[in-house]
Amino acid sequence: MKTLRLEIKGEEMQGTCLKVGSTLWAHINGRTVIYESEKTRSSKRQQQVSDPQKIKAPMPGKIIKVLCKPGDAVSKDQTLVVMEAMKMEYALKSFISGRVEKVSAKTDEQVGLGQLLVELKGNENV
Amino acid sequence: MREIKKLAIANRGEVAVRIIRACQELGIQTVLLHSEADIASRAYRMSDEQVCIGPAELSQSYLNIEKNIQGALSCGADAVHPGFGFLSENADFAQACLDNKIIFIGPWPKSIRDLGDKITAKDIVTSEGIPTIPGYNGDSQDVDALIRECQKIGYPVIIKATAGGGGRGMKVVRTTEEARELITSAQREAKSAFGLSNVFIEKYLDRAKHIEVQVFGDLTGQAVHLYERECSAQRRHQKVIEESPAAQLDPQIREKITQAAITLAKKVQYVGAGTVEFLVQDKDYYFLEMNTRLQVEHPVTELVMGVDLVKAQILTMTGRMALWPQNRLQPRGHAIECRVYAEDPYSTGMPSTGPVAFQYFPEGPGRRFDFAFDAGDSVTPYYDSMIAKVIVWDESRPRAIMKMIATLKETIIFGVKTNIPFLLDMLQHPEFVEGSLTTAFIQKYFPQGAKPVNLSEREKLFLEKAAQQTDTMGENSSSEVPSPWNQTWRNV
Repeated sequence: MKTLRLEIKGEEMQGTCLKVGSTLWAHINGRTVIYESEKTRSSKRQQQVSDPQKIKAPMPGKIIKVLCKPGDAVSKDQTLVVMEAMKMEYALKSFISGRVEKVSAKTDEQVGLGQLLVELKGNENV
Repeated sequence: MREIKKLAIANRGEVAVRIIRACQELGIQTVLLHSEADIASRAYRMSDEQVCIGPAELSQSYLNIEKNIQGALSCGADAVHPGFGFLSENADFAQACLDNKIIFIGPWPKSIRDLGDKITAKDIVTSEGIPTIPGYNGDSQDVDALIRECQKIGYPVIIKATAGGGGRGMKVVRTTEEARELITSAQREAKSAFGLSNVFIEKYLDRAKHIEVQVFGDLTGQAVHLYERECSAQRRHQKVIEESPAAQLDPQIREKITQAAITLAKKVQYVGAGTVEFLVQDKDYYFLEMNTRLQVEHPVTELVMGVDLVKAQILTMTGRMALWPQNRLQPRGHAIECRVYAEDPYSTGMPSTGPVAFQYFPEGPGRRFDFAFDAGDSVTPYYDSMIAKVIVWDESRPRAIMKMIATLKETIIFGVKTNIPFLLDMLQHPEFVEGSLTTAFIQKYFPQGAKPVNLSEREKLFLEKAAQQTDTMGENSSSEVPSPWNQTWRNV
């Protein structure tokens, strides 16, 4: 952690900063923000192109209920999987309308962050 | 009456730290009964002895009566403090302590059993003429039967865990269409959190304030109240901001609920700290439940009443506590507590886990910080995401709000995202400032969490420069959730 006082556009500005991995955590003007350089951002973007056809675990946790099976037609915002983390339940909903291609989530299974749970195929011409 | 030389803590996190502080001041040795996942924590480092009672899985550690009893016996503890959550409202645990000649810091098992089971509790309060909310509290747990009861009571209704508390297993049902999914979900959450899937149904009040009365009883059957707390700022029935006295409360209702709370405490010969919760809507008040334990939000009462509830709990059980005379208990000033959760404030409370890389709590007059971790410790996904409580006291409510805002603006937690921006938004909302908020406050004004804030050009330039001038600490092992708004910078 270090407190930086930098001159920005002719005026001084102070912030508390710490880099954790490639991410800069900074506390400026009463709030905490995180910042990634252009280089790390573009490589991260490539790793995790957000694909609405893939439902991934947004946090580590346990699968409580799988509410779809391959071949099912699903609509946008329909609950596909229910997870539990930190003793609370979270409903994972479909971002799109379409059809279920593959279901890898299993009830009672512990899953890691970002683990693929359901694959969808979106309706075309939507 | 037995002396307590050594006290075992059947809990974790900031409440374990709170209990350790009380014991240190009373000259009592502490033993932390902890899981494998909680070695890197403040409570572990601050306690005098530590006994690992099992793995992170709750049923094998913090919710396991046998392991907690064995842990306490193995180190010769005279007493067990259960904190809140976990086994704190489990009558079998309290009984097991007594059976093993361990003092349970809390009420008698019978009080816990009668009041902890909300259906029995409702029967007791009804017999004392205290109003309760219309609902269904029958034995049938069949989903179709429960749906019929929902229709009979009339929507909206709320489904609650019979053995529950803290918002777990609670669901609001507004139509018959969604009833089935929500009832079964409530039953699962109840089973997972409390080991019992039973639920009951109540009419849901949509513009009520959550007001609760702190009570305290001694071994002779006397009981006093320590006025009320308001906890209307709730998300998914979990409290987020609490204060004492209530932001707005009719003096006549205050008189009625404090008297009702004392009547109930005396009726069950309540011992130690307990909280009687009410919903107050318009000129009506309804008994909600009695929590037979210390509450998360106990510090606001401590600050306005000038008492130490945890020390009082311990001293009561050794017979050394002279109960405060009711007429000497007068609230002074105003206190507010904000719960700091490790979660993404812009993503409706998605938990954020990983190491706390750095933290700073800006001390000052009338500021109190109850926290669970030191920098370097990790927030794990196994437990509740509350990592700290920020509590302030000032002479009036407006000043306390201003102090809380100033304090939170300077509070720094790096490594895990926290709800601090969300807390700041709420504290500045006109309805909060005015004090007219109801339990619908968050759902009504902040369904998506905190409002995103844009950084100024100067701030962006500062970040770019700072990134070049700051060295990297460790590896990035925090759980970075792929986010829909993957921008250059993010508010945390």
